[in-house]
This record gives sequence, structure tokens and C-alpha cells, in this order.
Amino acid sequence: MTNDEIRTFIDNAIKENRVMLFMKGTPQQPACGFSMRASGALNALGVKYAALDILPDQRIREELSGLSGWPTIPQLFVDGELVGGSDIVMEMFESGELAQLLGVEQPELESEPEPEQPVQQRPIGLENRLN
Amino acid sequence: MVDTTGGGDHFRAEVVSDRFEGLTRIQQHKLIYDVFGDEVGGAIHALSIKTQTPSPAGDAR
Repeated sequence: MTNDEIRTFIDNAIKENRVMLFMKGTPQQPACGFSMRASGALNALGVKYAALDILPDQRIREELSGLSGWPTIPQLFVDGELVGGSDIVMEMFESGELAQLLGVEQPELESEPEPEQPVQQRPIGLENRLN
Repeated sequence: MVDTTGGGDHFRAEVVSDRFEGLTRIQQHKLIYDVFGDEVGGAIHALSIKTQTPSPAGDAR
């Protein structure tokens, strides 16, 4: 896969998935605390989202950052727009803005936390296409 | 600016500036990233950012 093809793949993933998270690892197995927090917030809101692990090939991250102008991972996109990295996602989660943006109810944080099972639309497998 | 792990590669920055007035959070954080250039994602593995405007009511977005 050429760099251009990777960039096109990323671009399409952002356009085709209303809630698209680029992260290190997977929602089931995050490979970094920041990615874990961002996917954890989406899990807690119970929204469907697509996630792409950037770790299998460093070009994924390079092309993603080239496209978004954002240097770090994770990166959350909603409706094709970059919402932010883990700091912004957590700030917006805690303030209820993220729930509002995604059109879901803010979970009652005082009550027992729901088991945070990821709700994924479908797996995105870029790594299988790299060779 | 705090070195969160002592290892010189994970930092937390809290910045208050009236330059953030009227900007979205994305735009505010990008201003901070721009200060460090290519170092973020390179030598700096993680940079946690909290931006604020001097007036509490000036929260963009």
C-alpha cells in the first residue's frame, strides 16, 4: 500500500464513519492510556464508533497527522471534523458536550458505572491491506 | 508546564491566554502544539494540554 493509498483509506474512514477514532491499540485492548481514555469515554456514552489502530504501520500515523494537522494520538472525528485528542475528548465528556455532540444522554456518573463494552460499527482492518 | 513522569518525554501544559478568546478548543491546542513543532510526537511522546482564557465565561465552544 502506498502512502497515498493509506491517506485515501484514512480520508474515507473519516467520511464514512460518523464517529471515527484513531487510536493506539483497539477499544478492546488499548495500547496507551490516552487512547484508553478516549475510547472509554465513547464506550461510556454507548455510541457506535469505528476505531482504527495506528500502530501496525507508522505511515498510518504520519498520513493521519498530515491530513488532520494534529500531532498526537488518539484523534476523534465526528461528522468528518476533528474534535480533538484525549484532553479535549475528556473535557467534553465530563462537561456533557460530547454527549450533546453525539446526540446521546449523558450517563449518570454518580450511579454504578456500566460495564464499558465498546460498541463498534464494524472492524476496520487496514493492517491486512498493507502488504 | 509539568514533566509528569520525570522522564523528559511526557508533559502537561496549562496555558491561560487571551489569545484563545473566540477560538475552538482544537484551535487553542494547535497553538500550543505549534510552539513545540515536530517535537510533539517525536522527542515529546505525550503533551497533555489545558487551555483557558482569562475570563471564565470566555470558553470557546
